[in-house]
Parts: sequence; structure tokens; C-alpha cells
Amino acid sequence: MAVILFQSPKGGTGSTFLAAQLALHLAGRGYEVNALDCTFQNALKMHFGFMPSQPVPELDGVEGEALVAFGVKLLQAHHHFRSQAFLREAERQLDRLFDPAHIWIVDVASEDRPLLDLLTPRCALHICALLPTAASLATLNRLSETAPAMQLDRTVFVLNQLDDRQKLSRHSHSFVRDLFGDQLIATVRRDEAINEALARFEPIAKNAPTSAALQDLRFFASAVEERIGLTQAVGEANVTVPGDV
Amino acid sequence: MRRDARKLLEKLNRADFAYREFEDSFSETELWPIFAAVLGDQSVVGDDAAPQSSRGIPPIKAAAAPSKPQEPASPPNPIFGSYGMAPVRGSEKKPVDLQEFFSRFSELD
Ligand SMILES: Nc1ncnc2c1ncn2[C@@H]1O[C@H](COP(=O)(O)OP(=O)(O)O)[C@@H](O)[C@H]1O
Ligand SMILES: [Mg+2]
Repeated sequence: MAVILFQSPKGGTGSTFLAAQLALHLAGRGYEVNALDCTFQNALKMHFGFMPSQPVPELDGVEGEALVAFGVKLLQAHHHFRSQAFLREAERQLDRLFDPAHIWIVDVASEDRPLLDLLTPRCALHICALLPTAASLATLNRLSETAPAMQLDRTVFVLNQLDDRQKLSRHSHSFVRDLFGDQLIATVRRDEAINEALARFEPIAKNAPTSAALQDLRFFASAVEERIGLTQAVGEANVTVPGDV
Repeated sequence: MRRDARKLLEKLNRADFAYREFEDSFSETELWPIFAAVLGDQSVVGDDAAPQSSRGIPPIKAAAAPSKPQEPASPPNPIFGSYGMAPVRGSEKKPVDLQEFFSRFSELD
């Protein structure tokens, strides 16, 4: 159905976190969602309540049972994508890798340029998380070798970890908003509840139902749905979420 | 400190929390050098990149004799206008007075 890439040229900006939150949201909306961790860190699963020691099935499907939580199927492919031969094969048969009946949320590591280059032309959306810091803004020039960041039509930004008490955070927000316009699809406030929920292996909604960031995350997920036209593309496997039209 | 904040602190039996008076919304955005660097980077903004030196620090001597910043009549991209930087477009090249910006930073906290 759609491949949604999460990759940011700077690490620690919240790519994995946002990938997990979007997967959870879309699964909650009734979509069939696969979340694919392509990073060495292999930390995506933690956002679904799994311990660091939990093995995650490989993308090739040869290993054991499916790992599913909150309606999201978790997979990993870091090992595979390290292989040049596999990358070449994937290039030729991407549809076989990414079953089009599902939404694929793919977490790509900051440094993994080959994978980003392979998947970007085929993705519905590339979501790049930014922080309101110089270190993050400075990496905006590393997004693509062929086109300026502002002209990448599949790339959108989420400004994460905003804190309106901080001057640089406020200024960065208005700067990024002015610079990128619609390409900035959402902002998410910094909220320690996110880290606490993760430390408890619990969903944020359970651990901190009044978290300000939760509100932002809902808005972010809806913005993604709208951006790639998912709202019109509800397949037969989907269920209707209460309150939906 | 505002009265309601002080009252809240009393209620919580606290001397402080991360209390801060916010400045007014976004209107007071300043051009941090990192913003100038991003605006001057072709890999980010393409041909509209504002010219700049690759060093983040402005030459002091030039800043001592500020020249009048030139505003474009209608900036092709509003971002440059709102940050006081004119983008360069073909022949209607206008010099951008970054110095003026940088000298303003030094006065900000
Ligand atoms: N909005 C936020 N508020 C507070 N902490 C956050 C927020 N977003 C992410 N984090 C935390 O920041 C850290 C880095 O996030 P992560 O998703 O692992 O980054 P990346 O995948 O880009 O390296 C994690 O500990 C995560 O819990
Ligand atoms: Mg990560």
C-alpha cells in the first residue's frame, strides 16, 4: 500500500520514536501495518513494549513466528541491507520485499545512505525528524546529493522536542516553519513522559494520558495520512475506528 | 514573577520550578548564525541561497562601518524577506548585508 521512510541525517532526533508512534496510530485506525527496523540499534521494538533481548523476525520471513503488538507486525532487516548483493536484488524486486497490501513503516539509520537512496524513489513519504538545535539544522544539507532539501517533494519534516520555554526552540520553530512551509508537517513537544513510558515498556497513552506530546503525535499521524491520501485508500482489511465517518 | 505563578508555587510548597516568563510568541525571531548558514546553503534552499562566508564569525572590521541593508522590492521567497536576507536571483543580484545582522547578534543576550 505505502512505504513510509523515517530517516534523518542526524541521529537522536526521534526517528525511531516517531516511526513507532505512526505505526501504532495507523494500526489503531485499522490499517495493516508492518514496522521494519533497519538499524543496528534495533530499538524500534521497545516502543511496542518489547525488551531489548527480544528477537525480531527478519524481513525474509524464514525465521520463526511473527512478532505483533498493538496490531503492528515488527520486522528487522539491518543485517540484510548490509549486503551489496541483497541491495541490488532489492532494487529489482522491491514489491516482493514490501508486500503492497500493507503499510510499511521503515526506520532507516542516519548513516545508512545506500538504503535511503534505494528506498526514497519508491516511498510514499520520507519523514525527516529535526530538533530545534544547531546540530540538527546543520544536517539539512545532507538530505540529498541531487536536489536541495526544499525541493524534495517526498521529504517532509517533523520538528521534534520543541520547548517553548527555550528561546532557540521558539526561534527554530518559526524559522523552520517559514523556510519549509507545508514541508513541515508537524511539531512535537519535548515531554519527559515519552522517556518514562519507554522505561516502563508502556504506551504513552497509558503511562501519561495527559501528555502534551500525545496531542502532537495524533496531529502528526493525521497529517501523514492526509499527505499520502491514506484516508481515501482504506482497504477491505480495514476496520472502522469509532468516530470515523 | 506573576501572582498566579507565586500562588501556584505556594500551593505546591515549592520555591521554584522551571518557571519562565515567555516572550511574546514568535514575532521576535532573530537571525541566529545557524539560520543564516542554512539560508546560505544551496543544498538546502537551492539557487536562492543567500551568499555568505563559510566561516560563522563575521569580519569585525567590516561590521564597524555598517552600510544600509538593501531590501528587495518584493522578495521571491518570503523567508528571505522576513529574515532580512535577499536571495540572489540571476542578474538582479543584490548584496546582502549580513554584517548588519551579525552586529545585531552581539547586542543580543
Ligand atoms: N518529543 C520528545 N520528548 C522527549 N523525549 C523524546 C522525544 N522524542 C524522542 N525522545 C527521546 O529521544 C531519544 C532519541 O529518540 P530516537 O527515536 O531513538 O532517535 P533516533 O531514532 O532519531 O536516533 C529517545 O530516548 C527518545 O525517547
Ligand atoms: Mg533510531
